[in-house]
Amino acid sequence: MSSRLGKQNAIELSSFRSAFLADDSLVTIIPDFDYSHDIPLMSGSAKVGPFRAGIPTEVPLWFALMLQQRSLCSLKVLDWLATENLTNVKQHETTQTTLAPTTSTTNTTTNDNDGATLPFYYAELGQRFVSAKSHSQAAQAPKASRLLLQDIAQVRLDKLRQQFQQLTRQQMANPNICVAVPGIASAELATLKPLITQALNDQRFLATSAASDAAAIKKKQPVEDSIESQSQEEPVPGSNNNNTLRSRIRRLRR
Amino acid sequence: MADLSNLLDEVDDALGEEEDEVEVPNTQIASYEDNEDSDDNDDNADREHVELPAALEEFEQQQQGYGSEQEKHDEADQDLVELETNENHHYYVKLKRLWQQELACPELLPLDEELVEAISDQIERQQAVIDDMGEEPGDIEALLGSVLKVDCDRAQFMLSDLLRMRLWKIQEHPLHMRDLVDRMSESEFEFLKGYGQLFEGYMRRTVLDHVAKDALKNLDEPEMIDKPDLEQFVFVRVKETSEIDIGTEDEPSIQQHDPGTTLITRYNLVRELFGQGKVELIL
Repeated sequence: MSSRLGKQNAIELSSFRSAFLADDSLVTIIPDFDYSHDIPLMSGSAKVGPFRAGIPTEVPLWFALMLQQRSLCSLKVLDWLATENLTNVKQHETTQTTLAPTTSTTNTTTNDNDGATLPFYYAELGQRFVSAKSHSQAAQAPKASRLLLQDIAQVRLDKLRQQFQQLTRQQMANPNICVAVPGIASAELATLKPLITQALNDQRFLATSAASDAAAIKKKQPVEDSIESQSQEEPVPGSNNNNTLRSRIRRLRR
Repeated sequence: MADLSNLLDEVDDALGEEEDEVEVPNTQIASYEDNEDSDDNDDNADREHVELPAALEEFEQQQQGYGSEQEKHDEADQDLVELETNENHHYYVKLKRLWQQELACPELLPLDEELVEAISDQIERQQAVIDDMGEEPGDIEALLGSVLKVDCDRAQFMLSDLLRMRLWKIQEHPLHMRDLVDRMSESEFEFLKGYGQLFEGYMRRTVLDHVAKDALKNLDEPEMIDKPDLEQFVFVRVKETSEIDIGTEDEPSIQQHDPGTTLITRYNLVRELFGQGKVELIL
């Protein structure tokens, strides 16, 4: 799809989709109104309601935000957005080479892993919470959390970029790679995935075509075998092999 | 050519009914037509009976207090709502999964037509409920209306994005898709037929008719048919412990991965596992 829409577009679209998915996760709200019936929803959870003023209840995030806009509820800040937890995570990110693990639930409580875990949709959820305008100050994530979130996202992205450089190098050695990326989160996938898959695909394309070209040339000129095996690794400028490679690149760029 | 005016009329009708959704596939246009027709039908009325009173009764109860008969009626309603909600939710979750897999997968996946039908049915019914609500302005009603509307829109977005992606895949490789007809819905098949005819006509007019050799004139040379690239790199999440062979044909080397791991790999390596449901693609 990226070829048709352009890379920037593809990234924007996938970011939109990941935010869309994040909005389905459940959050806790404290409603300011009474409503004694279930509301039959298709999305989010099987049912929401009944609502009683002051009694916490779980609803999908998009629903919570709608209520909040009308000042009908206050949003309970997710536990992991607390400054202490985020400081922990940041500590982990800046000192360790691996990413802090992600979990699929929205409300992570601390577990064995020195407390540093993030939800899969941490960036999207965090964004929603720090930007949500709340009518009670207590319900808004503290400003410190916002800064910490930004830092964490930045560090994680940098780490992933470096990992992917290694990955492309590995692919040169073995085209059948299967590499684990532990702890990658949805927002990072959305930004990096179009880029990474495109890069790996292009590299594979060039590698296979270079190999097949070299093989074809080998067949044609068995005498110059030794020279060609050299040019297989680094094509001599102006050689036949290089020309075909160039035309392939041109085709690739279209 | 003789049918052109008829065709145009049909197009006009479809456009008139749903201006925003010009590019939606036939299923949707058809279903919208059904919607218009069946608005007054009995089964729609049933549904309204289930959902609307919940809102209206609430309103009445606030003013009049609870009556014993009212309460009984209420409980029955409640059960019905619950039953239906669970079912609704079930479909929604399935659609979400199907949508994510289709978007991330390089090839066309089989379409769960039952699911698509059930979902578009639900969207229609919910839409009808919302339309009826608009006439009763009131705090709770207005809120409920807009909540249901957003809920509905979310499902609709996924559905149209799913179908759009499928049409895009069909358009990309029309010749290859002839072998995959069993994965398509009826209307997608119709679309392919139409598109294939245009494509073939275009090919004949521009190139094939001017080729001298007869042998070169057919479009079904297996080597010339463009296929989706199954060697593409994809991100997958492992759901059950699975073994992936990353070696070459001569010397296999098997890696084992535990549930919950995220992997980058070539689609072909995990295609079988994906078919078995042991891994899922991620968006």
